[in-house]
Amino acid sequence: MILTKLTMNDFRQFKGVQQVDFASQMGQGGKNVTVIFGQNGRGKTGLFRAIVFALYGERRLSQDEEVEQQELYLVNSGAIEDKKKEGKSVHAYVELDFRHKEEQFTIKRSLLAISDKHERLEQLGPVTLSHTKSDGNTMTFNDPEEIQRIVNNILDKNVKEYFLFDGEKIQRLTMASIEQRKEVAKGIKNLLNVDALEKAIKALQKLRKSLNTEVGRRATGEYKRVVYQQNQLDEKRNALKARLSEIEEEHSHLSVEKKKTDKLLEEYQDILHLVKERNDLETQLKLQKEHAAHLLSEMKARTAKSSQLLISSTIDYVFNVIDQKKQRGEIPSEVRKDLIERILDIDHKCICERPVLPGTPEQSALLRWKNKVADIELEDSALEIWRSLSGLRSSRDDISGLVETLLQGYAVCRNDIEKLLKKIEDVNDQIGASERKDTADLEKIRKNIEEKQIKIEAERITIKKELETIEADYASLSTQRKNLEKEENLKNELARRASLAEETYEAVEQVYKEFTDEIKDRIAQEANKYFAQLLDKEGRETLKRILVNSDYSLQMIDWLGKPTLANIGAGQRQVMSISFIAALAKVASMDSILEMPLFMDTPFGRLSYEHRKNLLRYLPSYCAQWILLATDTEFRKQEASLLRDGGRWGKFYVLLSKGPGVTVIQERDIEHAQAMLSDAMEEN
Amino acid sequence: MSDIGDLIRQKLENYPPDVAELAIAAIQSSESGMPESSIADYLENVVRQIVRKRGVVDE
Repeated sequence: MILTKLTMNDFRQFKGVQQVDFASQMGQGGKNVTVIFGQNGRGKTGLFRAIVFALYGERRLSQDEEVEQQELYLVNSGAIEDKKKEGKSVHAYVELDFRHKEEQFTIKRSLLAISDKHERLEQLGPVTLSHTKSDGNTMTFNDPEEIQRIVNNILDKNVKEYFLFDGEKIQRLTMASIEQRKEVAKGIKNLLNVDALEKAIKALQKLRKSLNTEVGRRATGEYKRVVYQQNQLDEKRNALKARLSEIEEEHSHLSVEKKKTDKLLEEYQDILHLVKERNDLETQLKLQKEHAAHLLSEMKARTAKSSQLLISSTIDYVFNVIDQKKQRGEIPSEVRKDLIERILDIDHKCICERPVLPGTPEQSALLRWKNKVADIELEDSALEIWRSLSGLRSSRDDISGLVETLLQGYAVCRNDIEKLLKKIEDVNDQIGASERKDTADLEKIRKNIEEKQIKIEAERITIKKELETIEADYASLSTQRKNLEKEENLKNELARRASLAEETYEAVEQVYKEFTDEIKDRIAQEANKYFAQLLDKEGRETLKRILVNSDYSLQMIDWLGKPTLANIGAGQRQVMSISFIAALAKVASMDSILEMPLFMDTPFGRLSYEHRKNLLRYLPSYCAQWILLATDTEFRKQEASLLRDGGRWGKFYVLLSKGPGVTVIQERDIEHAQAMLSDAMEEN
Repeated sequence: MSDIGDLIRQKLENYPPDVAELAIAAIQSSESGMPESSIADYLENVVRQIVRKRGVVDE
């Protein structure tokens, strides 16, 4: 695809009909570079947007991620305002002319916009594609799906960002997610024709299966058994291959997860000691809380008994009263009562031999005494209470001591808990609110990932061994089958067809393996050649080579032989991506120049002057067409001079502001470009 | 990319002519954008033709 002309009508800043003719001379020394120069806000990205919209109907670019759909307008606001006065709608369009393999294409997409006081509406209009073949015949297409299929066959949507890109975003190609990588790999396979090979393999596999099933159905005896076994093995082989590809996918997911976890762990390295301290404190806190809970439960268990402590003084008082009576001999009094009765009724004399006769004062005193101690039951009760209180007093002292110990222990424990909580709060403050992720959890996650990796690796090894055995068994059955065919003169047409399908399937699979390995090596070789030319001195001192992975993702290897993609700067990533794109284009076109444009929107922002210089010097010869959208800060007298000296610069356009939201595209003479560009204040 | 297709065809030259013929038919039909199921049906015809042609030559 070589872009020849872009025409826009009321699209973005470009009010009315405006046009850019691209330099598009192919071949050695042909003018193939177009520079569109404009200060920020003049509509460079509007042009980029116009190309992507025309080819794919996409309203949004990758840099629009954070812009709301309803805030993204493609139709020129001034044109809408003009039509609003007349109560009419605006019919905007983008028309892109390009050629591909010496055939001409024109794609035109329209937009309809209308606005009233409150809202503005935009909707996609029709799309047409006219295709003029080399014999001069023109075909016109109106079906959007058909048009998309044709455009994708020329430049697959999945790799469009390799050829049409925003300079700031090109580096993203080196750090795409697994899903993005898959999409990109799909696009690259399309570009390299690998997808056709894969499709052919699948079709041959299907053909082989159906023919073998048919042969198995019609065969007899030993031959039938061999064919049956082959079919069984084939089924098993396919299932194992499918599982193997699932494992590969799982493996790459796990690798990405592991990398992410490692990155997070690395980020938390500086707070690792604090997190460990917090973990220790939290363990201590847990133990203290358990201890406090134990003390509380001990106290609860003694609640019934310890209630006596509340009436401790009453117990002492009652005990003392009875005890004193006991001490005084008033309780128990049974012995004295017997003695009194014997003195009064039998002996009539005291133990001291003093007579106690009726009517005497001694008898009266003894009778009074006898009446006073007459209630024996009361005495028994008093003595029982005394005994109980005595026991209670003894256990009360024990309980009192224990409860006091428990209360003291609990108070100490609560105090420790408070201290620990305070310490944890302090550590958390040091860790910072934004980084509360627990590294311990991350370590666990990492360990889980590693365990899963080991598990699937073991499964992969087992499956591979199993596949090897199946392949060997299958080959041996194939030999047996051929021998049987010879012996039994089984040269029927069906058997021959099945045999041919089998051999062809194996041949295409072998060719596929050789081809994809070769192509990846060649892309890597070419990318490294370009990279060495484009890289600045600083980069050459640290970076050694680009590695192309099996899924066409990229890795950078440093001089120590270690992967270092994660550590390289944005400018180096851009140069790496450009080298890969150029290599891809070269390999896809088999060492000539792939008929693809390189459309770069402000690519020099993050590049060192040496990088810029190298790009300006070499890129025009790497690609079939280079369209460069540049700002005044990245395209100055020096850059223009370098580009002009290369002899490939064919067109120069300037974007000029004509009032708010309106830009006019003006073509300028390259020879006079210097006069309007600024001087570099920096390196040369 | 037809040039890449040439490289694949070149590799297939190392195989017997009927294998190469069927393989090229499979690749070409895949490149044409034909659906996978239709390709297998189409290849059934191709393989039949190749075997018949070969049969005639053999005899």
